[in-house]
Amino acid sequence: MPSPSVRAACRRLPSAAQARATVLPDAVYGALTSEFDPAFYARQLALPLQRFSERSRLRLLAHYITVGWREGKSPSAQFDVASYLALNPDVAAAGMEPLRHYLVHGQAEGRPLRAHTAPQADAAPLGRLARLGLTPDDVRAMAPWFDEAFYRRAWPVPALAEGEALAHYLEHGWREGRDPSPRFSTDYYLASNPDVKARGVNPLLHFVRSGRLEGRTHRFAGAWRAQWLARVQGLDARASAWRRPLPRPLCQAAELDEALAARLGDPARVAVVIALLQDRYQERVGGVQLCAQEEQRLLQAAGHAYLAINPWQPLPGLDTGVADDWLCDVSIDGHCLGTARGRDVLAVLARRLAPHRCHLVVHSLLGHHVEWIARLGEVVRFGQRLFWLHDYLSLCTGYNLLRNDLSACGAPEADSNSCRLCLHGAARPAHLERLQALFSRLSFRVIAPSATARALWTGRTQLPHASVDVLPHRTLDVRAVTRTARPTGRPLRVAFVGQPAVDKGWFVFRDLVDSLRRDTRYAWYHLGATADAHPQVTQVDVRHTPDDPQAMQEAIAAQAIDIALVLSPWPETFCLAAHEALAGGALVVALASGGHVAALVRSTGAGHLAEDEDGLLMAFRDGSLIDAVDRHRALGTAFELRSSGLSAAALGLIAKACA
Amino acid sequence: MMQETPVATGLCCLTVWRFAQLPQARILAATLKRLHPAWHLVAALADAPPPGLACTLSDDGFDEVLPAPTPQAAGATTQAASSRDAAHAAALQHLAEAGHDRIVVLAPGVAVLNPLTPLVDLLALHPIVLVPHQLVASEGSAQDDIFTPGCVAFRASAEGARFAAEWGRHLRHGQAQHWLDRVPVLFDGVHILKDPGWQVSRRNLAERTLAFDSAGRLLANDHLLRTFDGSDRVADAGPVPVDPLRFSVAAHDVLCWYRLEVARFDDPALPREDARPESPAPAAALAGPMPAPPGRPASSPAAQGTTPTRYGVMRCFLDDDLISRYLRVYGEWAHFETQLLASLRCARVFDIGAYLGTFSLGVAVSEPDFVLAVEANPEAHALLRANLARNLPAPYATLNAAVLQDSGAVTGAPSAVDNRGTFTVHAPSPGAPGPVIPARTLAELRAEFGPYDLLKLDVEGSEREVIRSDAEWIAANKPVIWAECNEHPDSLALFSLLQALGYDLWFYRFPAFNPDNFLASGQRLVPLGHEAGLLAVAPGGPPPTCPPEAARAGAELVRVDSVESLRQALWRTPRHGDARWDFLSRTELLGLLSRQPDEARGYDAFLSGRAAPAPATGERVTGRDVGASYRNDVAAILQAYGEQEGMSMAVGGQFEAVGQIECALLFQQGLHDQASIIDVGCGSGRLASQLKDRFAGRYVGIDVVPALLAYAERICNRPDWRFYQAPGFAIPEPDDSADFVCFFSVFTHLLHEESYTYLQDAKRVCKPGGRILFSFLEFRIPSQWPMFELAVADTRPDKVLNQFMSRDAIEAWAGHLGLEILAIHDGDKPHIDLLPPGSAASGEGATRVSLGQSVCVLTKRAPA
Repeated sequence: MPSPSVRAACRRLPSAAQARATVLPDAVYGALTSEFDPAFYARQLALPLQRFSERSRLRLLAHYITVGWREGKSPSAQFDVASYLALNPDVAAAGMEPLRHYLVHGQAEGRPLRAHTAPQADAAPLGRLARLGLTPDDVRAMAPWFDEAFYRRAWPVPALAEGEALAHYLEHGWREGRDPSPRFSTDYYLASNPDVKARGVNPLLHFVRSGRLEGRTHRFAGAWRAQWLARVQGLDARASAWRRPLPRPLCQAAELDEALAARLGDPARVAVVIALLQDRYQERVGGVQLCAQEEQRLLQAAGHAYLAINPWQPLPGLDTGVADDWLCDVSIDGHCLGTARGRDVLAVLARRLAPHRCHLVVHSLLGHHVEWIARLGEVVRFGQRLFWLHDYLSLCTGYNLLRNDLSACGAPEADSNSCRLCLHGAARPAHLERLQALFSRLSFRVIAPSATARALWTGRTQLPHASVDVLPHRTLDVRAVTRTARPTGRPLRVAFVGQPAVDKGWFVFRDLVDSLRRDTRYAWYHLGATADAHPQVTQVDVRHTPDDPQAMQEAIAAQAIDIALVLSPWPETFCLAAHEALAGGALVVALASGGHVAALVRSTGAGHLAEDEDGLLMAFRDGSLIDAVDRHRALGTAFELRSSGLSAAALGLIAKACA
Repeated sequence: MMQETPVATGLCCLTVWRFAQLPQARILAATLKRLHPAWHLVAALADAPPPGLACTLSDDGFDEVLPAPTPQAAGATTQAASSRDAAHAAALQHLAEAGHDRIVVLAPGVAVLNPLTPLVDLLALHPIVLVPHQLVASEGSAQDDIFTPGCVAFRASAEGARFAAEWGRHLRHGQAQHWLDRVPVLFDGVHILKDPGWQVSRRNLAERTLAFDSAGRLLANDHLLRTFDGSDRVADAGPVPVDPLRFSVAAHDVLCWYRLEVARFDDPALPREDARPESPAPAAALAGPMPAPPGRPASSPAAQGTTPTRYGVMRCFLDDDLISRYLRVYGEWAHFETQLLASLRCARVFDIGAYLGTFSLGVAVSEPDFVLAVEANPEAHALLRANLARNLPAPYATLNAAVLQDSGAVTGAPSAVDNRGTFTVHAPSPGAPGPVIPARTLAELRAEFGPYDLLKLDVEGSEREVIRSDAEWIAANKPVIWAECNEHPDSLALFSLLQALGYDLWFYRFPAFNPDNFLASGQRLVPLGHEAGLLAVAPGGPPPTCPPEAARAGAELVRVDSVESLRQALWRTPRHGDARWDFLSRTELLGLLSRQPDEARGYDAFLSGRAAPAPATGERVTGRDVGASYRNDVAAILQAYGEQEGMSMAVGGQFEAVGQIECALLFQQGLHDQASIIDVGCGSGRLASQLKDRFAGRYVGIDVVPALLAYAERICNRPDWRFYQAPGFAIPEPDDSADFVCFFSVFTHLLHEESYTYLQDAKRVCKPGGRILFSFLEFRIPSQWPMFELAVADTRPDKVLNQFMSRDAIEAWAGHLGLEILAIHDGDKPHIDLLPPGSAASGEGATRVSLGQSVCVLTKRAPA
């Protein structure tokens, strides 16, 4: 006896009498054997039937004949109604039930059953999936919603065999709140469909089988913010996650001294610039690292030495251990001399650099030890001390002024709700106290790479400083060019440039692409070194190297990118990517809150500023960006990047602007 | 107990907790002490410390710790009291004895984010202050308490002490569960602190918008957020199931902070709270309508907000606008409609009258190639644009325009306050209110945006005009047409037009309430509310089928092949009714129906376009009992609709609008305060009610239905006027006594002989030089044709007559009666200047309108 719930579910099928009257008099339907698969059909209706009597078979078949095929349900895995109707539009137009048409006419006429490019899912053995009750149709239907690469990267599962990710998601992953792809939110689907949650069915399977036909939505634009905040960790947890084992062997003082002596030339001619960085700039990609690479090149060319120091242990703030034991990498002119103890480094530098003119340039304080820097200041006490505002670490450990690393906060008072509720809030007062001590000792000449950065910093800081100057990393020269009009019919090429990260607006970009995925006016690209796969986005690997500093600009030109999206939610101090985009011939589209980027768009007029994410979407929807691109092409202006000389120029060691 | 004897006059804060809640209690202590270091913080423990826990509560900020009452001490409590209630009761007693004069009770899950000074200030004025956590009515919250022990304050005055003692007594007996809700009545001087910044918790975050201001202060609905309860349970009320995606980002910031703080204060030695059962979110908890923020009146016309819906996050109005309310409560509007249309899988959709975009978004599940959404109301269009930009997964365009038969410009205004979707447009005239909107024809839109294979029309009665603006192409290409189909003669005319264009037509009626709605709300906004539409498809194709989900909910798709079958279908579509009927079984409903008057009662008049009742019984002349059929009709209508609406319905509806037009016509014809007028077929006072404040002269109203006359007399309240019932086709007034005799919608229901008889008598009572006006139906006016078709379709022997008349007949009658025809006005040409109420009769600001029926003006020549 079927259970009451099964009986209730079957009530929407035609009655047995109706079914007999529908099916049996028809010679074709009456004789159907293998062409109709009741189990397959019942699954499409989400009927919890296990065994099939002749009566239930008839009722299901009658449902298919009268209602089902019109809803796109198929009689068996072998016969796909939607494909058959799509391939045979005359059948669709005639309103005939497709299986009957196929058996009576189509088969004899040799009509195609399926498109030739049937997904491989058919051929692939279902394996574990079959045990989960999945049909090839299910697998095919889920394919666009499952992104194996994403699944593996977002939540690494140890020892998950190739091709097993989908099964993992269906068995375990969804219960843990994992998403099968960025396009489908497990949490959201369950939260917004309590009936699905109550039944305990897999949300993705429910969605592809019935949910989407019922108009249920798969994702909540912006839900990534809630998910981010539900998972973000505190600074302590972050620091312990970043913890590295001690390096072996440590570079000893004598070793360091010897290596340094070999590299430093005539003290009378060679000035030494000591640069503090957050990591090995030679090996990393990023705006600040590029600055250091450029400074090294400029200073070397002028016959000076570039001595870079970065912490061994990366930290989400300052190092608060014992200064003597603080570990750092030392490199000179790009050659890493090794990792050494802070005490040894200070001793060697004090001895070796004494005859040279020395300057201190602080690019980043992340992972550095302020007391150690103060003692280093003694070494360079006759030279200049520059402090770059590449970010706002001198205002908060949240160096991009994002509350919980997510929403722009504007650096309010440390006592405000905003700060107290932020994961950086507890650390901020002590952090500022340490900086106060450092700035009092060293009296920096502060260099802001943009006027917006200077304005924000001076308005918020209480750190003593000698002066604040503006020196952009690069400047733009305008020249006239003749440009061909955009080829007609070609979609506008829109690229996200740079790191696919929250603080660069990557998820805003993904929401945008998802919203516009059926809009053929646009083609989507991501230009950058690290990839985050998205089915609609073409990934173009772009990596700056010291040999190829123009890689991004060239990639933008080579891909004929029309619009570069720079969607940082925080007040960027200087955005190299936006400059490179302009130089590569693209327009820049940014958020009005994007600090320097917004100022750049305003001053060049080469782009568009959106007030918020809705405004951004609107600009794409209403086509105004297409007009802007075409106008820009017609205008015939082009931009060229010119290096400002960075610290080398600021210190007067080279003539300004000698890119 | 770990410090000196507390300062008995200070402010004391009590919190009661079990050790499983120690991390939360530590957050309370830390946040409270930071802002109010001088408060004396008392922890009342409800259980013993777990073994292995090494902590000193004084380090956490607690000034005094009351250990859990021993079983002996708790002896006074009953079995029903939980250990926490017992500890709470004991603590209240202890604090009273210690002589604290002000006590604030906070739940251990509370975090104090901003100073509690307002509460302290209120305590100086009131002995007891309660802080509700819920401030707006929302579905599913009825079973929750308004006041919880989350935040309660009282003073050691007589009333405050009585309150504390009573609370303790109820706690000891395990009866404190709902007791606080009764406090405002049981005690004097209870102040209720209504402020969205207090008692914020997971379960009310959906009704508060949290945001940081530029100084970094956290605001809840623009009020400083003071207390946030971070525990999942509020006063043991069970888990709080709320869709977290309805919260603002700032709310998630708070939740994120609380999560990290709990982890920071946690201790592995602490016992765990019982694992909460993973229960599905009950429908009710998800269903609350999104309120307007306090301080902003809900009726503010510009108030807009966002709400999660089946179609994505949508912007909508926050007032009583019908569709916005549906979106806020159900997360959808007319889901069964879009399901049906989506199942037709049309590729190019024209959504005319798109309003907030629910139709465009709903049909988009079938992934159309293009959607054009047109909305005349500029305010709604702004929301439409945002909604489609955010949620429509298909190429589309939106347009702020009215689609009419001719392009140009019109002005428009919503015609109902509670339904902005009813936006009607008028030809622009100097005095007409509302913005000027471009008017486009469908053919123009097609030229600009390409062809369509689905045309949705929701244009407040202009459907025919829209279709006519591209009729040739529609007839040739037969796009699917879906049009709103209300109980209105216009619907019948629309049917005729579509049939003439060669369509197969289906009538689709569906409940406005979808039991499986997106927000799983069980609330019934409009009891029994049904929506209906006409679906026109090309003949020969597969017949459309009612979506199974809709069919289960009671939607029906019926074939209509004649005007009469549509009228029948409309008649059998439920109107808004008694909410209780919705919960009756079919048998009970049949039972109820069998006690109602005959189903056909009132049906003959239904949508027949007949207006005022015809006068007098016709026994004398023809034997037709016109009056009797009207009296029956009126009785049925009054029973069905109640007096006010019924009185309007009985005279053809649009009581005020038509009355105003008739009144304007009379003034235009020279009615003045010294004149006298006889209104034959006055009905329920449609004309008289308009005249009562504007016309000082003599008025006589005659009719055949006493109930209508009594109503007319009552609403006019003019003792100098006369209303009476007159038999036959006679006007029992003296000769040469009236300056005006009028027959509105009278001759339209009489045989020619009867009308002629009336005109004879009208001539007798009319003063020389006076005027006789009557309205009539004629074949030369296309807009009156559907009436005739209805009359043809209605084959019942006892039907109410719809009489058409030719101008030849009028000329012949006038000639024989010696009356002069002054003017005949076509029913479809505006000829009456309608003045806005209260304006002077100078003609300034007038709108030119017509009555719909044609109008004839006769005069009785003065003897030479």
